[in-house]
Amino acid sequence: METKLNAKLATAHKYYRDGRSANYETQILLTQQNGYLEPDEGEKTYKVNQKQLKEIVPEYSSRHIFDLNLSFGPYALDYTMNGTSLLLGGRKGHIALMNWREAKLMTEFHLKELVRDVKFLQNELLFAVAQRKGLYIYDSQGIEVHALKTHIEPQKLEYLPYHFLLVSANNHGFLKYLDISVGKPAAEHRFHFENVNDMKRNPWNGVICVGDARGIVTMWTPNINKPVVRLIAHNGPCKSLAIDSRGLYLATGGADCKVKIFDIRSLGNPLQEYWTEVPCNSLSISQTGLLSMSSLSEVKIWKDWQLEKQKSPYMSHICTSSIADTQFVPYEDFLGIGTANGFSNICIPGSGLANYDSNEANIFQTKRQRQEQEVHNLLEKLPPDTIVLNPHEIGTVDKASEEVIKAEEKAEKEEKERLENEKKKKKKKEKEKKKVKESVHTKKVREKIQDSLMEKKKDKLEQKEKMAKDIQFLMDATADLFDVPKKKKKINEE
Amino acid sequence: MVKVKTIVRIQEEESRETQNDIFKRHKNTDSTLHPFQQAREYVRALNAAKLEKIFAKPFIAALKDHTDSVLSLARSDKYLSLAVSGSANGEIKLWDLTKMTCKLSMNEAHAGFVNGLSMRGDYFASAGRDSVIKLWSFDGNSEIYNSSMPLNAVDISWEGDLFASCGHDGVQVWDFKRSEPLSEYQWGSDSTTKIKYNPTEFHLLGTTVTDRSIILIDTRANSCLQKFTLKMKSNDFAWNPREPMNFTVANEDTNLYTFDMRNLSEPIKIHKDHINAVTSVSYSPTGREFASGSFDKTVRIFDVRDGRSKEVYHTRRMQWIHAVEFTGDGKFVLTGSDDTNVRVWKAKADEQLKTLMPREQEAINYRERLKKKYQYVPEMRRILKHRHLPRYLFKTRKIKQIQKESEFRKERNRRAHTKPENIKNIKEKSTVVINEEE
Repeated sequence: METKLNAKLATAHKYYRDGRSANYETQILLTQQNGYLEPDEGEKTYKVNQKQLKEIVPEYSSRHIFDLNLSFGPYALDYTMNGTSLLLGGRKGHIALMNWREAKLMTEFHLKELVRDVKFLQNELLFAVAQRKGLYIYDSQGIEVHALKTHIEPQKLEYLPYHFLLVSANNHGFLKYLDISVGKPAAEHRFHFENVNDMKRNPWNGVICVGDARGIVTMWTPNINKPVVRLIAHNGPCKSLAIDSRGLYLATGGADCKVKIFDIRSLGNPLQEYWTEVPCNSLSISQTGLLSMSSLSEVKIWKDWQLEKQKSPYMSHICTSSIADTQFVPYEDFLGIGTANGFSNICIPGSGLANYDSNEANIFQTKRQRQEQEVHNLLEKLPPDTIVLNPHEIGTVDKASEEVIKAEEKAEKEEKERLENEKKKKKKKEKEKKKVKESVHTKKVREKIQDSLMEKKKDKLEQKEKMAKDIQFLMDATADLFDVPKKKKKINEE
Repeated sequence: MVKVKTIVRIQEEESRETQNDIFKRHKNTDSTLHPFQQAREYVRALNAAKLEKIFAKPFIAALKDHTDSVLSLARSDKYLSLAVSGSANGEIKLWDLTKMTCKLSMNEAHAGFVNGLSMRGDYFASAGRDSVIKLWSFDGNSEIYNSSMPLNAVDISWEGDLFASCGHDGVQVWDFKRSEPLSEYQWGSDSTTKIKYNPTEFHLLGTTVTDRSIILIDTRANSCLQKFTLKMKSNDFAWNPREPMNFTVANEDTNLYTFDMRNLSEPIKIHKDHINAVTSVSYSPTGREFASGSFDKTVRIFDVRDGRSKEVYHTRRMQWIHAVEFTGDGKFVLTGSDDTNVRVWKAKADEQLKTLMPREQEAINYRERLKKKYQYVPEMRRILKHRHLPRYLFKTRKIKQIQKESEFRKERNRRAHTKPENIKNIKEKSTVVINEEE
């Protein structure tokens, strides 16, 4: 038996080793190089502005440095997973969906209502908009597909692509997970937030981070109705959040004019603290790990911000109006900025990953490929329970002792039974209520009520008719006095 | 001036050269681009298990030409598509399995039951209750050998023009060219039910006898080599073609037993799952698995090393199964049953029979690997193990389960109230063989 097991383990190890080496060998296929900006001696990268860049970068990049003047701002924005489509949502109700690479407008419409946030769903064909009263889902032609009125006054939206979960948070203290593949709520958490200022997902483990007006950052998973992590980040409102793509670092910007960098694996004291002159409104981290901080109309981009406290930013840019939202374009050297006056796209060399994986995000996707990927993604949809702080836990052996596991199972079973019993009781009560109601409202009583109602209606109608007749009579009588031409005509005809 | 490089994405570089070309795919194994890898792989494995269930359509065809229950089956070792079946009214039919048609039909081959069939090279032999053995060629001509007793089985030797038959009074070995048997083996008055030549030791014969015993005969000597007795009668006997020292017997007590010829005191494996007498057993040419037919109206496929069946086939119309036979390529199973039909089943229920494109084959291989990797996870195991059973089978199995549990409970109680030195640990395997002789 032992030899058998050993042999099996040996083959398993062999597969593991072979897989690793094969994985390593695929690095040959990474032919493209990430962008960069290298200064000469005495030069500083942060002194290079977009105007200068536009002249020295390749034509492709210079073409895509642009500003859009739009008058329904400030604008929230979102990119699809492959970075091809851009969604703009003006606070005053303007929604625009465009392929920014080809500068092609796909759809544009005006909701004539407050728009708080916009978010793409699985691809560019569907997107969610957080409107004044509820959450709405539109398709790429601008047709309203769903109106989710149970999501009351949503402030911020987030989407978990591998779980097909749309998350919304509001100031009434609700965090709601909606499974968009079946249209059913996956989880609903109640919390005590002052004000949801920012909500971001951790791309590595799918945990939702919420920053509120008390300066507390909470992390949420759908299967636990309490925050899995509660971090007091600032002495005052927490204005913005960002998490890097490896899920290691959390950056928070507060109203106390500080931007703090935390290590998610060991939260506690911040790793670094940056000071801004004005509270930081929006934070975002690129795939290669550049951090953008924007306060008022200025955006600063930092490099290696987590390793040591940097003295000067990597790049900076000043927009014409105050900044509302920023997001790096995936797989591109650009940063999208939503401002009060519209939208601007600025070039940040080295912010995007040059080598992409077409199985995850295909940049030049054909229609057929998009359809196929959608089906595959749906087939591989992860259950909400897979969202945990450490995603590596899945696929490992549960080493808890038998007693612990049995106790857990027992508790689970009891909980299930309890819920079922409650359901049964509710049903029973409802049934009894119905019975009582019916017994009171016997047929005769009902008929009487109905008859009385009908009589009332009839009376009202008769009264109305009478009134109308009286008015007509008066009008006719006084027609001569006021010289109403219409009436005269009638008389002539007669 | 500063040096600058930016990413440039041009659609033309990604486009195909011609319309029939495939699209460029980019691969980057950076783990940040592939979050939730473990969880996604597990979901993929679950999907693979579910797909196996969706594609599981094992029944291929019923060959309906017989007019009475099919008692015996044999397949050719030379031609993949040939098989022969014999029925209770004396009919013998030669089947072309690729076309699913009857190639040759002998309507009055025997007077009464055709109990035994065997096929080697360009001949096949049939033995009937009418004490006649016929050696057929594929054009329907036969030579007749008259035996002294009603016959139960016949098997042509793997080497030389010999065949062995068995019947009510014992075993006879025949030469093709002689009308009288070369030798005869007799023991007591019990009938011999099955006889099989060993595929490598050509002088070795395995037989099952109605006195519950199994006998191994060396045809060079004039007496039996080894004899051992089980608790109940064995119905069929099959040598493992790849490990020819091993053989499996189908027993009346619902089990199958695999023995090593070198140690007959206990079986190497007990194969349980049938709920009624097992009537026949046949090995796959790979020697890794065998099919068994039973009076519970099901065919089961067992792994040689496994005590439980990995597959069970049944249809509403299939009655008692008298004979099963694996085909020469190991891909199909033939069954002959009481409802006069010969049925063709896939040996692997979810296998696709069409020619597969390389990418399809790759996807299938990947799914198989995933299933193997996660086979011990409870949810996966539940999906992979589940087989739908007819109600009578399901109920009987449950009853058996209850009986077993109560036996176990009783044994446990007995042990709890016995002095430790008096407790005997008896292996189930050691109780199978009740008597062994040389």
